[in-house]
Parts: sequence; C-alpha cells; structure tokens
Amino acid sequence: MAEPLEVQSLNSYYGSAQALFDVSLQVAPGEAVVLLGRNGAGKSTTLKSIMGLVPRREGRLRFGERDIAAMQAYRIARLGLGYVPEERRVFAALTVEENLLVGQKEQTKSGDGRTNPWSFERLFQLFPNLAELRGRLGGHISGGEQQMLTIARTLMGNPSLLLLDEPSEGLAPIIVQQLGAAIKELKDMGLSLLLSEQNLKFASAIGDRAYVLESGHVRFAGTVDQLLADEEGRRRWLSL
Amino acid sequence: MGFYVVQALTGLASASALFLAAAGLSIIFGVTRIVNFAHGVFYMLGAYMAWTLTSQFGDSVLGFWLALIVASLSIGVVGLLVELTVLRRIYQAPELFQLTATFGVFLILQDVTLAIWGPEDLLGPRAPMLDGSVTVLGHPLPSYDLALIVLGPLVLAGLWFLFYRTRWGALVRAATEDREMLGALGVNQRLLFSTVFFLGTALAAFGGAAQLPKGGADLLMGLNILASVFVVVVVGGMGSIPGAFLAALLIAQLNAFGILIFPQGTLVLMFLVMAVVLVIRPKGLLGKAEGASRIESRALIEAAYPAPGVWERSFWALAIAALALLPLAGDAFALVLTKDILLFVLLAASLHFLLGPGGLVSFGHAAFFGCGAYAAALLVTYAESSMVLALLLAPLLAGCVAIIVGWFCVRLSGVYFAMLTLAFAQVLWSIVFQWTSVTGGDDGLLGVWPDTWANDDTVFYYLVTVLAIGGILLLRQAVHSPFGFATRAGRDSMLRAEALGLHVKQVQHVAMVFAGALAGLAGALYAFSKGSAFPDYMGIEMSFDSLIAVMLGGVQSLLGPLFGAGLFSWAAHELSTLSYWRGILGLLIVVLVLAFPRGLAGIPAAFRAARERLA
Repeated sequence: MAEPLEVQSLNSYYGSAQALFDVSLQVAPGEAVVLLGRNGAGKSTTLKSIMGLVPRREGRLRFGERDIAAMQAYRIARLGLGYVPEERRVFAALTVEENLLVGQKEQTKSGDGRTNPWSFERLFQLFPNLAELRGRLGGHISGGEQQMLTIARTLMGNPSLLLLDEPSEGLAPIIVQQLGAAIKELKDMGLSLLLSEQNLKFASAIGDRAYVLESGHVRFAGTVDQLLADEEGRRRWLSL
Repeated sequence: MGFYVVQALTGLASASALFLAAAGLSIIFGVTRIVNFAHGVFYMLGAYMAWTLTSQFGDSVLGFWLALIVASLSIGVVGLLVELTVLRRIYQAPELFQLTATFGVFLILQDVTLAIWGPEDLLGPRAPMLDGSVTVLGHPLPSYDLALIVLGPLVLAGLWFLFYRTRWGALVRAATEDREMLGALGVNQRLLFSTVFFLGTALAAFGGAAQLPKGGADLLMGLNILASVFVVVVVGGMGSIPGAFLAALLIAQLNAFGILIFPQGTLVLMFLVMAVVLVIRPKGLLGKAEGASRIESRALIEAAYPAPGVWERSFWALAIAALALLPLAGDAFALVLTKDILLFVLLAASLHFLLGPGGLVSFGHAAFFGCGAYAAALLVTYAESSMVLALLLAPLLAGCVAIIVGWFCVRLSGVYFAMLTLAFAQVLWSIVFQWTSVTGGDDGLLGVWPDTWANDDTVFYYLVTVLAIGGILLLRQAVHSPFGFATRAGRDSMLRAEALGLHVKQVQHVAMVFAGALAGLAGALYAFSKGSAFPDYMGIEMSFDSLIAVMLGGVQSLLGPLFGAGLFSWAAHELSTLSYWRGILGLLIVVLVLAFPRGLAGIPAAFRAARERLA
C-alpha cells in the first residue's frame, strides 16, 4: 500500500530569491492530485522541493512516517517517490534500454517491501512505441518518445507516488492522448499521482483533487469539479 | 624500413602508459567534473609502489604482474581516501577551489613520496621472461614493449566492457550527462563518485607501474606526465575513452618519429597536433557536442568590483608611502624581499585580471612572465640591448606571444581553456628547456644586470616599485574602464553580451594580451633583479603559485591578489628553509579550501553562520 505525502508550510529559495511561500498540500494513497498554475507559478519548484532538488527548502515534508525535509534526493527516491522532470532529461548518450536500466534500483524490493511489478516487458506493454526503440540512443528519439521513456525510466524504480511535471507540454495531441491513457492506467494500478499541468482539460481528466498556485502561493485547494465550477477563480489564476 | 617499424612499435608501447593515465583522468572528469591535478602524482606513486613490490615479489612472471596490479590497486585506495577526505567536501565549491585543492594534494603526496622513497631516481626492474629483446625486420625491440603494446588495447577492451555492458557503466555514463537526475532516480552519487575515483586513480597508477621497467621512477614524472595527459584528454575529447586511446596513439607515434626529425622539439610537435585538432574539432577527436553545454565552467564568482572607497584609497596611500620610505631603513635584505614580493604581486594581479573580471581560468600564466624574462635576457645577451630598451620590448614580446596563445585559447572555454593554457605554457617551457644552444637550457641565461645608472640597489628598488605599482594601478583602471565592463559582461553572460554587440571572444583575446604583457613586464624586471633567466620562471609551479596567490586573496576583490601574493611569497620565504615546505604548503592549501569552500571572501559569511548556530 502506498504512503500519504504531506507538505506543510513549504518555503523554497533560489539563492536569496524565495520561490514558494507556505505551500501546503497532501496526496493520499492512490489519489491523483493536480497542481495547476501559469508559467513561473511554482509548480516545478514544488515538485523539485518535494524531491530534494532545490538549493534550500524549509517546512514540514513527510512521506508516510518519514520526515523527508532534510533528505537527499536519492534517499527520497528510494522511499518510493518517483520524479518525472519537465525537461525530460533523458540520458541522450544511453540507449533506451540503458536509460531504463539506470532507473532500476539496486534492490528488487523497494523500501516499503513491495515487490517490483515493472520489467522491460511490462513497460513496453504500457508504452508500445518504446519496444522497437530499445537499442536507439535516448537523444535520437522524438519528444513524445522521450516523454514516455522518462516516465518508464522512473517506473523502473517502482515508485508508489509519481511526481509528473507537465508531461503533456509540447507534445502533439495524439501523443497527449496516449500519455493520458497510460497515466490513467497507472492510477488504476494504485499509484498515487501528483501531476503539474497547465492544460486544464488534460489535468481534469486525470485528477481527483487540485491545487492552484500563483506566484509561489496556494490560491485554491479543492476537488477538480469545484475548480471547474469556479469560473472566476480559473480566470484569475489560470487564463492567460 | 625495419627501423621505422620498430620505431612505430616503440611508439605503440609508450602509448599504453599514456592511455592508462589519460583514461583515468577522463573518467574522473566526466563524472565529478573535477580536473584532478593530483592525477600525475598517482601515476608517479604507482611507479614507486610497483618498484617496491617488484623488488620483493618480482622474480617470477606471476609475482611481477601481480605486483603491478597490487601496486595499482593500493594507490587506488590512496585515491579513494583523498576522495573521501578532500574532494567529497568540495564538489559544490567553485572550480578554481577544486583545482587548487587537488594541486595541494599533489604537493602533499609529492613530498610524501620524497619522504618514503628518497630523492634518488629509481631504476626500473626487469620483467621476468620479457627482459630480452626480439628482432623485428633485423632490428631489436625490447620484449617488454610487446607486452605494453598488448596491454593498451586489453585495458581499452576491459573498460569498454565495464562502461557499455554493466549497469555500473551505464550509471557512470549517465552521471557524465546529468548527475542531478541520476540522484532523483535513487542512485547514490557519493558511492558512484568514490568508485569512479578509485578506478581512475588505479588506472593512473597502473600506467605508472606499467612503464616502470621502461622508464623507472623519479620525482618529476608526476608533473611531467600531467601536460601529456592533458593534451591526450583534450585531443581525444574530454570524457571519451576511445578518444583518449586514439589520441594517446597519435601523440606517442608523434614522439617516436618526431624525435628522429626534430629531437629538440618533441613537446612542440605534441602541441602543434593539439592546436590543429582543436581548431578543426573544438571538442576533441571523439568529444561529443551534446555534452558541451554542461561542460561550461560553473559560475565563476561573479564579482562586481565597486569603485575604490576611502578605505582603499588610504590603503594605497599608506602602502606607497611605506614602499617609498623602506630604503631609509637601511636593511638591504628587506629591499630584495620586497622587490620579489612586488613583482610576484604584479604577476598575480595580471592573472587576477583574467580570473576575476575575465572569468578565464588560466593554468599557464607564468608562461608570459617567463617570456618577459627571456625576452629581456635574450636581448641583453645577444643584442647587447640596454635595460631600458629590454624593459620596453619584453612586455611587447610577451604580449605578442599572448596574441598567438590567446588566438587558440579563447576559442575554448572553461576546463578546455584552462588545459590549453597549461599546454601552451608547457610548450614554451620545453622550448626554453630543450633549445640549449640559444637559451642555455636548464643552466639558464646569466649576466642580465641593470644598466649602470640603475645598478645601485636603492635605485633599482625604486624602479621596480614604480613600475610594479604602475602596472597594478593600470590593471585596476582597466577593470573600471569600458573594456573592463566588456570583459565582465562576457564573463557573466556570454549570450547577452553578444546580443549587445560585444565580440566576447575578441574582448577575451585582448584581455589575455593585456594581462600577458603586464606579466611580461614583471618577468623582465625579475630577470634584471636576479641577473638571470631560468626555465623555472615559466614552469607549472610558477603558474600555480600565482593561481594560489590569487585564490588566497580572493577573486572578488581587486586588493585580493595584492594580499594573497604578498602573503604567499612571504610564507614561501619563511617556509622554504624547511625540507618539506611544498608539502606543508599543500597541506595549508587543502585545509584552507576545506575550511572555507566558498573562498576567503566567504569567511565573513562562514563566521556569521557559526555565530547564528551558537546563538
């Protein structure tokens, strides 16, 4: 069973500039939560802060029983948090298969004792395009394929909570559809999801609950349906 | 014909040791992004350790080869200890500090070697079964060379397997691309870094151990291999193992045949090849363009250099008054020491101009100091020039050398730039060192004395003081001139500066020539002050002494190099009576870097943080 993620009063900084102000959010086991906001609102910073990838963060960060506020990224990853970065960051000089191999963790069981359901074959079922690309270099595949690879690479580590940073960004509509289907399948498997998005349609198709960020502050917390009903709020925080 | 074949085979044999050392450096750099100056000392330690072990167990074939391997592994462990105690703490520190720290480690281990094995050169043992020679097309070839020829490709194959057929290898290659992402995937980077450092060090040591029967062991081999290894790594493409192999073959063949055609200039040939390769392929033969953006040097300390305040103006007034009054004290030795310090300060200030405002980390700045010294000495020796003419021409000649060197160097950036400057300095050093008929080689040029009017100690002291202070103030003015703004703009954001219409590379080129000319002035004055010019004036150690001085003082402040160089030359003077003073200096450097990983300018912040912790 997955663990709940709890973030309370998170403040993050880049040098002397503060990027997040008292951000609080929760992700219950098996829940899909979306993080919405315009460019620069702090969505990526929130995910990076949870993962321990920003220079300085303060606040209460718990994953299940563990305090992850001062933990290094690799330890956080080993607890079962999987991070899929916005820029994809596929290892360009490694083959698709090697990229997946890197994502695999040393132990067959993850920190909480769950056995790893993910194998190359299982992932190739989820993302059929990747199967025939096994031997290709990560830098030589299309943007959509890289997005699938980067998710697959993180799944190899058998996360129980997946942090997805704008997965639909810059992809063709048909690819976004495939991706949406794959993400739903992950949700159905019982993975918790924290998904940052600018695409409200894509997000609302997946998410149960939503948070809206603006200039590093949480402006809205509620169900996706509540957000869809709040036309005024959507215009204020999300429309361009 | 047979002769040439044997010559080529000899070249192949020396390529092996070079490849081993270069592969080690390349791997370490690829993953940790640290240019490890201590690498040369591990190569040397490998040879010494192998010497000790083979003298015990080297009588049988098995014993001999096991001794080489055990020697390499044990030096690998030494490397691992260095990684755990020193490097691990400074992965986040500015580049310049990492380099200084590894150079400090170099100095320490160099003196440790001296303490353990003594100053004598050690003769290499004969390898059992391979101590004879075979005849190839009527010419003899040492059998051991055949073993070395096999060894290179064997290690290459082993490394290829390790990097392309194991998960560890995939992790290492992934780390060269994006360390942070690797951490986010649950990979413990510390462990990876440590294993990589162990492997890289062991490879260097194996290179040193393997060439032992051919070349023996001596205390200079560490420093000597560094320049060649850097050339190989840069020519092959930073981080590329096959590239390092290819480049090692190329350089070794060049040496094997170059020595027949042009015996005085083997190092020059090596450099020429590097220059050609880098002009055609700036990332080396097999270097990848994709990795390029991530090799860009980590943000150098971005210093703003405010205009001088009251405090600084009064400092200058006091300093100039003290220097003017010093001869009245009547202490002849104080005058000599002050002269030396002032010239070193001028050298450091000119280097600071490149490092600080220019953001250009030069490892070979002493080259221009030496050029100035030799220009003056050659003019006096062969053209019977007066001192005044020599002092006018020497900076110009040093500047001309900087025009040529700079033309190549500014095409590169970050680590490539640093390595290329070092390689050029080594080439100039080797020209001076090898061209005995003109430069006197190791014996130097003597009898470079000031004109009669300046032959008086006090008069010459004033001359040095006026010119050195003048040079330092000129550098200071330059920082606050439009030219200085342009160099800083190029340093802080190349793209934005270019978008504003600045030709950044050209600005950097001019900065190198300017700094080179002033270093040349310091060198020329130094030659007249000592009455001689020696190859040491442009050696690696001189380049590093000036780097350390700048670092000690802090890159952020224009007064930094003054204090740093002053402190350094005073300390060197005080310590140099001790037998292991270089090692002690190394220890001081390492401790300093570890205690203040953000530089001396970070000391106030460090104290503030400590106070907050206590409160």
